[in-house]
Amino acid sequence: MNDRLQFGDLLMDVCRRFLYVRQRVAMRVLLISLLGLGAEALLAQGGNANVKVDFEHYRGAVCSGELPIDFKISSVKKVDDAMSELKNKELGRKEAALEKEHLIKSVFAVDDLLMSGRILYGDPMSDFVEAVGQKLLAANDRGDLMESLRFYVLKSNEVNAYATSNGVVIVTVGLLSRIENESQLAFILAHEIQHYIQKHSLQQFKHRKTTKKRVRGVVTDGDVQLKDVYQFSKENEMEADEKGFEMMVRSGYDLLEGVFVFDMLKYGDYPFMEAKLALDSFEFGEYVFPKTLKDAVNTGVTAAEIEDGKYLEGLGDDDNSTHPSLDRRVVRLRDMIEGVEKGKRSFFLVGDARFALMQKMARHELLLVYMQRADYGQLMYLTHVMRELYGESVFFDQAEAMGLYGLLMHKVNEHDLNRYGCDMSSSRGEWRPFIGGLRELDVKGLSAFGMKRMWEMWKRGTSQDDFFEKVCKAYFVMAQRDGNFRLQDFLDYLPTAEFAKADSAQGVADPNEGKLKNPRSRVARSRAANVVSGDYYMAIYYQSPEKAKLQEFIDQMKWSEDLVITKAGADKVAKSKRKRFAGVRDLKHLVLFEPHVDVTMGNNKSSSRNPFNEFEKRKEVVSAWGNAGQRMGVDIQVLPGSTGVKGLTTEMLNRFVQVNDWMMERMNNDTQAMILFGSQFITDAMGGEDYRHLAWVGYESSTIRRKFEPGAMALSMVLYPTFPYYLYYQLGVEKDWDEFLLVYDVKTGSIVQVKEADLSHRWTKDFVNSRIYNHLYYIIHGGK
Amino acid sequence: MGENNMKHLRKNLMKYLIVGACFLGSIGAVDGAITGTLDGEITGTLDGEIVGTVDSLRLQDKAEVALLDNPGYMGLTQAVTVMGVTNFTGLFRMTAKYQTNVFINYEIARRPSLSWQFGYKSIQRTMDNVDFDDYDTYVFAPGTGWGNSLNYKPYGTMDIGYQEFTVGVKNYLQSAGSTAPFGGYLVANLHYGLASSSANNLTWSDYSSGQTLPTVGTAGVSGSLVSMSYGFGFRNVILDQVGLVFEMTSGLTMLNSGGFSVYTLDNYTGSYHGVDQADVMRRVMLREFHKSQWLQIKLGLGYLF
Repeated sequence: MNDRLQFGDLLMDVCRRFLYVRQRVAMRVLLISLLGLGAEALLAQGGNANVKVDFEHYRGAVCSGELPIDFKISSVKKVDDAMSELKNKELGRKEAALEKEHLIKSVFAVDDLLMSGRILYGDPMSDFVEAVGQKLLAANDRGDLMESLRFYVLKSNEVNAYATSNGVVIVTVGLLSRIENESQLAFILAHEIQHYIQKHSLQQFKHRKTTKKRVRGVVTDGDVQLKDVYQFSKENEMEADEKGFEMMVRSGYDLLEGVFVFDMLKYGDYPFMEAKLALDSFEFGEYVFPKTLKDAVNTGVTAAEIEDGKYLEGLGDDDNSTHPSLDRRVVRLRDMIEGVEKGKRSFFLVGDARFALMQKMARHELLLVYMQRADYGQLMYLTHVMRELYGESVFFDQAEAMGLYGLLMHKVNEHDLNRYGCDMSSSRGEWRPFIGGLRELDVKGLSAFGMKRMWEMWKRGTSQDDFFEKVCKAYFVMAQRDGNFRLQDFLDYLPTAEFAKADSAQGVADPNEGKLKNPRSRVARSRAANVVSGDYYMAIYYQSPEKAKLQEFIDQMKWSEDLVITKAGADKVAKSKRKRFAGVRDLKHLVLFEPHVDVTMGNNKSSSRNPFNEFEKRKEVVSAWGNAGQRMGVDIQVLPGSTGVKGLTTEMLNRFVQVNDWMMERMNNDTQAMILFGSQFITDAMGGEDYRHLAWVGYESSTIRRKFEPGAMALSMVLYPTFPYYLYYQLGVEKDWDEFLLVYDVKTGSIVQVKEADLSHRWTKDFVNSRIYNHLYYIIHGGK
Repeated sequence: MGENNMKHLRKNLMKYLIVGACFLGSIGAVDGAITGTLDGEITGTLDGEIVGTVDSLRLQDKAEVALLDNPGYMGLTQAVTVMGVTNFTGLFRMTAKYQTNVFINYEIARRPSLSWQFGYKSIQRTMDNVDFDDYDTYVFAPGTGWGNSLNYKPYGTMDIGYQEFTVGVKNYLQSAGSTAPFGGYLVANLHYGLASSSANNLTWSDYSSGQTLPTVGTAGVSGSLVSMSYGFGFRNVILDQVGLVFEMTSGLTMLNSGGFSVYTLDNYTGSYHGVDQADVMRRVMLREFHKSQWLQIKLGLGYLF
């Protein structure tokens, strides 16, 4: 029972699976490059240092080249093949069973990750990682591993790298965005390759299973399954450090960089670059934040720092940690370095130009990852860091606008902003004062802040960008409608001096005693009084030399009903008029993601999921959708979500990823931002104008036998007429069936239908058929 | 007496049918929540949303609205089901009896959670001494009144038959994933049954003197019952259009034309009460059918279309 997932968990699980994905689609860029029209071209093939990526309008990396072998073979076949190899080994029965379990878990976990839409291959980043990996192997005479190791990049903000027992080496974007040179990457890869060579994963799995001790790893979001299989002991880590170091020595990379790698891991929850960016840095001219806000932020930061003390203590080398203390590893590494002869060593062997490109791309990719994780506070901070590093760009403006939009939307809906990148306890360093400020701002304050930021960007000419303008308008509409913000407030005048006076009058009982003298109207005076009471504190640019331009900007941000799809707005509409779903009368094609299926069986003591069974059930669901479509004349097209699908190509995978990114973002964040961002490309990815409806379905079924209840039996034997009912209960099972259906209209960017049901039923074919047919029926004809 | 009872029954029956029909009708109309106005202009509302104003809204339109809400099992919203019914007639007797008969049923789904059904059931059975003994049934010698020692008891067999017409409503359990007419449901039925004897081979004789009364045949041995039943069942589909149905219901008689309570075990009859063999046989027969409604288990095949 404990292993049963609630539906919320299912959703979260799925969301996590697909979460970090980015928007990308270089369709436009690709087109331009093919036509030879632009400088913004993507040239791109293997190891070319002159690859150009359009960073100004960055859309994310895409996979390219031939589909790697890992994607070509289905999980079931991979397990079958490996099983036949396993049979040739002479193993004891228990050991064979353990190896089998490890194999199954490992293959399915890795394949899930591969098809999660977060894995990259053939792009400049993974090409670079592969090149460094190959360099290491070549220098160590391990040509035999060149074929068996595959290098991928994972779109995740975590600072991490993995090596799986089947030869898949994964490095995260979070890590790539932080490393400063090639040697650091080489150090990490050497370490991971050693985990693979030494078969640490299997060793540790067997150890855990035989000693029943579960190593408590720090499992953050994302690759939970993978981490369950891949947990290494301290000894494993030490061994990988040591042998990895030997590889480094032979390869000619600079050795001292390993020390910085540990530093990087230690400070993984700091931004990859610290740029002073407190809330103060957004103040200028008449635009000032109130003292109360700043105080609140400072208090928050101090409290978080005190918490940090405990956190840093917790980083020690305790029994619960999977990894040895980083400090201890650094000391060991320094010892090892001292024992090595000094010689000519290099930071870059593959090339610094390629490294710089990879790093820049990883950092851009990181912004997209934060965007899709809906970590808006952190995202906004990073856009400023990126501007410091790479100058202004449309992409940064788009990212910041989206961050602002997302934050305001969640603030309006009174969500916990900690979940949206404003959690001070998990963000350290310069992230804190900034996100603290964003969190403390009220709706009106945030509206004003966002308007000001957007105007700043608009002034620079970003308004030429359609997407930016859409987000900007949507933001203004929300601020007016849900934040009760008047555009005129934006233009009102309150000089800095007056403002300061007002602010300092906080403690005064009667606000009018502050003797504010506003040159304008009684209304303005009352607004100034509001400033004192802390209601809002936004008044800028009266008599500004740019007032005309500002007025033009404000005029553009006209109210538009069709832009509003905030939850608060929708609730208001729903309250006044509950709508019966009218159905999609012109539904001819439906693009369906390969369903997510969880089937749990067992008893109250132990329950388990069988990936093979789930594989079969997934096929059953797909065929049921196909049949229902056939009956109702709808062409159901399934986007593959598992490896080994016939006809899977890189193009198809990119398409899957692209659609998936867009959809998952919609589910996770419930903002319009990504719709606006992605909708211009999504139609192509969906297969043209006809394919405008997109569906995602998930099923979770569990049948758990009831535990024996002797008391109930005794009672029913005394009250003997009830005995049959007791038997019925005792021999029956707890049946649980959760389903989720979500349909989008790509063209309008709106949700067509969401259905969520939790029923008491077990998985039977007729039941599945019936449910699916009904779902499709309701999508077409409407209903409740 | 019998005729009076029949009149009384018919009157009451009409009352029940009207009330029942109104009840069922009201359930059917809940979804549509259709309000009528006198000038013929009818406004349909669905969930409070005004969907339009029409000049007339015929029954057919209502049906369409209802059907739109019910895609049934793969689009199939009607079913004909043939079921074997096992009726337990003597659960509380020392000699429990059961009979198996056939029940034919037509069902039409109106909403995902609701369907109506119309059924027909026929029972044929032979009663013998054991059944009659169970009621301790006898008549006094005609005209002798109290204190006469001539008590005539029946010996032999009597064939009885029963035809039952059913109107029912089924509530499909959507929380268990059911959609009418598929899946698990609760059911409530209203029955109108006609009972009669097809052959009467009973001899009424006095156990001490051996005297027998003239046989009365089947004349007057008929009656009717109005009853209701409720229970649960489920239909699983084994082929695309064929479903296996299991249902268990339990019922009780609300009215009978025998003019007696089916619950009081007062069988004391005699000329004093103006009761003859035919009356006794009718009462026994109706009691048997009443008891057969206590528990019914049905298993059958349904054809969905």
